[in-house]
Amino acid sequence: MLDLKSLGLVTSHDIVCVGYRGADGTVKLHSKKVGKAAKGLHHQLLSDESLDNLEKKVKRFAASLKEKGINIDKYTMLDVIEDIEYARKALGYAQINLFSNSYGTRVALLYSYKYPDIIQRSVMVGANPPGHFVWYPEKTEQILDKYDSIYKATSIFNYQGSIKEAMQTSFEKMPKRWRVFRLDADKIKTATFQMMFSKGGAAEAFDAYFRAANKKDYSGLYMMQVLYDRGISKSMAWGDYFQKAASADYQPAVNYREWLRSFKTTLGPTSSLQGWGIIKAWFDYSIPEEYKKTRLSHTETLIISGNLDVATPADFATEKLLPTLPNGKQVILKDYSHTLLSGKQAGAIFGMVFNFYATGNVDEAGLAYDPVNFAVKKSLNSIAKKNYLPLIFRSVF
Amino acid sequence: MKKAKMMNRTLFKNVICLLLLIAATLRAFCQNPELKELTYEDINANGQKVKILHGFIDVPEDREKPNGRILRLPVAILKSPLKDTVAPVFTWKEVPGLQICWTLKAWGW
Repeated sequence: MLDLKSLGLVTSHDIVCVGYRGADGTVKLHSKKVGKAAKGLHHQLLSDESLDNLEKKVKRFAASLKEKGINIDKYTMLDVIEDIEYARKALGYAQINLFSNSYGTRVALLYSYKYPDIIQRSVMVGANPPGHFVWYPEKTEQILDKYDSIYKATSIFNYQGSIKEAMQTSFEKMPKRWRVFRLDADKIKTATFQMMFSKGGAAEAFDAYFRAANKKDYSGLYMMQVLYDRGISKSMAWGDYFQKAASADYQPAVNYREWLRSFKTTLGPTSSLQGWGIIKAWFDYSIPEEYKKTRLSHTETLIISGNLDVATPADFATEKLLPTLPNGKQVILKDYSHTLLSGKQAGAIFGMVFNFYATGNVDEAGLAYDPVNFAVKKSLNSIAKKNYLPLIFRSVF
Repeated sequence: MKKAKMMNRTLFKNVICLLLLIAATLRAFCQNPELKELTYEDINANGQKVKILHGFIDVPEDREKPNGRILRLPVAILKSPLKDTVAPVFTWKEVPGLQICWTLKAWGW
């Protein structure tokens, strides 16, 4: 547990967390069948067959929600904002500060558009400008290049070669199986993208690629498949995910499968293809156009980004969001990924955040450089081998 | 005469229904937002007691239909132990569909 006092939380601010309609409330937009279909078919997660199957399940899920009388049009970010407003009024606060992270930063942005007078200051960690729920494969490639150059510069004695080349070699020479388990290159690529949300996760994935490319040991890459399967089935309220993303960013004229597959990058379109390649099966409902584009907001805003963030890249916020925020400031943390708040500097980051709430100034003095550590304490390969029997048991049942 | 009596009765019924509908709608609109089923727990943060309040808000699924489906949403408040409080910080989930508020987890909640 982090030290709340040193984080500045035991200060003069109450901190309020409001549950999410669609995920936390009495209506939960879950679907086990969609979760199962999201694991793919025949060990090809992103094949048309797998995507078509997922699309079919999503369509049925949407129909079942309609049969239950759930008005899915009312599960957008704008409705979430109204819920937060309700909670604000119930608690009797005249003005509030906002703290948002990742996707939630879009909620904060729309909040500032809708209720500018209510918000005193807003902090966005990993800001997501309108139109950016789609993850761009070429951006992931650029960040892989950055990792490659950091790795080369910092690993003087134990440099194993280019990360990207290790990935390419791993996929080129990938056997059908690791021991009894079938390997799925699409799933491994998707898991890699997701692990790159944190730099610790990225280092673990890169280590697994080096072991596959240099030692022909694919156990670590198989373990990544297992992690993907566990994460995808347990953590998602699919309806909520589709509705909030689709109602804000979906462009009916775009053939997402074709467009995303046109990117020829090391990892390819991964999670973007899985989500946006099937989204037309979901309800065709859009929030008003005025909330789908950036516009001028005078809210005092602090954007905190990491230059290794594949999910909400720092330059998207710099180029697309910051020019529309005349009272906005951006801090780009060197060698930080998407999960800024779980690193060693979390305390210092929160210190900067609360100082901003109090004064409107950005003081980076407390922040220290926290480099990427490519050395992995426990490799995914050793975890896979140690748990070989439980993995067999799990795959049977 | 009988027909007129029937018509009056129907009209009366309709008026009563309309009045009930108006009253229900007005009630829904005029109700002050409130936090329900409030409970609290104390947590220890570096030797200092901090109070966390848990409660619920009941919000209509469709705000244009206040008498329709009601959604109960959880709300948690980390209360400042200081007397002179300033504007609170509101937060919510990072990812739609995710069932854990990672930010709060990072805050040691």
